[in-house]
Amino acid sequence: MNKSRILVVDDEVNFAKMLRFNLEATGDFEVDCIYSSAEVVTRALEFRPDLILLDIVMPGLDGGSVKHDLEAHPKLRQIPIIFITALVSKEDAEGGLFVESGGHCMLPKPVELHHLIRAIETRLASRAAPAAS
Amino acid sequence: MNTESQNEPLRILCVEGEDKDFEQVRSHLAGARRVPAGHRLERARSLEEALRAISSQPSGYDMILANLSLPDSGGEETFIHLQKAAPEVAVTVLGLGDHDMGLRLVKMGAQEYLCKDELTPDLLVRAILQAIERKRLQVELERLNRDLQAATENLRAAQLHLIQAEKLHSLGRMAAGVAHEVKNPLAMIQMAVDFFKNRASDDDKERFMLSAMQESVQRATRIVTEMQDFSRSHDLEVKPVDLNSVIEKALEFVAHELQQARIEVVRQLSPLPPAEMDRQKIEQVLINLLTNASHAVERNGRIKVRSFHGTVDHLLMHEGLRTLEHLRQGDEVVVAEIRDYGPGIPPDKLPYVFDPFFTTKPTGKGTGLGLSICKTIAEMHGGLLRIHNVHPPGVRAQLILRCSPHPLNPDPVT
Repeated sequence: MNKSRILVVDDEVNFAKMLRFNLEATGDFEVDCIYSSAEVVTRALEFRPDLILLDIVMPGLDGGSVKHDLEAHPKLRQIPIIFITALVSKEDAEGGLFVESGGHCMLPKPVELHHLIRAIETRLASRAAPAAS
Repeated sequence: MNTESQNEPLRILCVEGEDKDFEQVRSHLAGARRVPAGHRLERARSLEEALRAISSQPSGYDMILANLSLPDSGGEETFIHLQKAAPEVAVTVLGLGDHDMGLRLVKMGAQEYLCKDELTPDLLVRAILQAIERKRLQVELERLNRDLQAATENLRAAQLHLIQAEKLHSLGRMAAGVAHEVKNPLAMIQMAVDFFKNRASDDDKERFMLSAMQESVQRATRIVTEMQDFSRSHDLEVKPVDLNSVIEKALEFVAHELQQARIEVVRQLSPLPPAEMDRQKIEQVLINLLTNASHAVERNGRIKVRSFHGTVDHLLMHEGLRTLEHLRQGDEVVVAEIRDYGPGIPPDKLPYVFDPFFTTKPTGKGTGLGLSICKTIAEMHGGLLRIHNVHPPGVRAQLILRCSPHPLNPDPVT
């Protein structure tokens, strides 16, 4: 079975690496990491991820601006994004694990691996199926 | 005491045991050139008689002339009793020339010490009129002093309040920054816990370690997230809302937890007019209160949830709400009340329930931020959150919110 390709974008280098180790250990994912928001578009075009895990608070371009840049690119706009961020408060997270934000999801940091994997699988599945309204 | 009117006769009590000395006073008053427009001179022969006369006069005397040597009392003690019985009446002492005693008496509050042998009619009348005026001014000064003290106390309280609010605000700002910074390391610890969890181990100690680490991360996250909530922007999205609908939503949210603990919920919700509120934040408050109530009763307990409305005066009388601070007389309010039948809050802890981080729950069970946030939310709405111990034992929490102005009457207070 083909592994899903995940691109992790976070300026916290150790966190990004730990995420990669954990996701790859499941055997279901091939993961690449970048630590600077400036490289996202370039790397995404090379790596062709199925999904992007994106931090919000980063030096330079923040997550919101990166999302904007990705959506502006015809080859990249379809890629689902999951934001993982320390900014999400209990209020926002309490409704469940996700908070829908402009068609993308937000997960609070810290996030337990099984929650993250479920979120990834859900997003990938909904992308594979024809988009419901 | 008659102070203003010149038309009212001056009422003078002369406390004098000696007939001839009383006669002297009486004739001086009658013979003076400028007699106070009508005066009524009464006599008491003893201290006991004087005290009886003072207590039986509904409007009191304007002046007491007293000889301190009486059949049943003497010296300064006589003066002390008289002054205590009539604290707002001018007391002038008639004596035999003991000027040291005179000075002491004036220091104690006597208006003057007059020597009987030096008395003339005009002197007596002048002394009486001046004493009355001086006493009036003294009483007024004391009253102003008390008002000033009260005002100073209020100011001090307001200042403390402001300092506290500013501290909380800075704390809030700091908390937001700290919370964000702490969550990243927590996220990494979580990743590590997940990593080691996946390397299945039969070692009990290893599994225990990982489990404890996992719980610690969750606990730290909860605390830090509550800090973030505490410091969030204080913008409210206020709309007219039926408080009962918010109560129902909150009950739905905790339904599972209450059911698990087999806690009975008794509802007494009255129809309510709409009230201005940020629905989401008020729901947060009610969930918090319900959760506290459920923790208080633990298993097989009972909680009563009530709602009612009225004006502040009406509620003060019938619901025993006592003073409602910033809500004004005539304000229409709605109240959500959650009452548990648990053990109540220990009385020595009750004054601190709204302090951030204060908790009566066992270590690790509550972060204690909840009630302070709830109180802030209530106050941001111009309302109140009140927590009381009640009988039979339990805690009653009341969330009080202003009603929306009626469409036809924009300002219900006028």
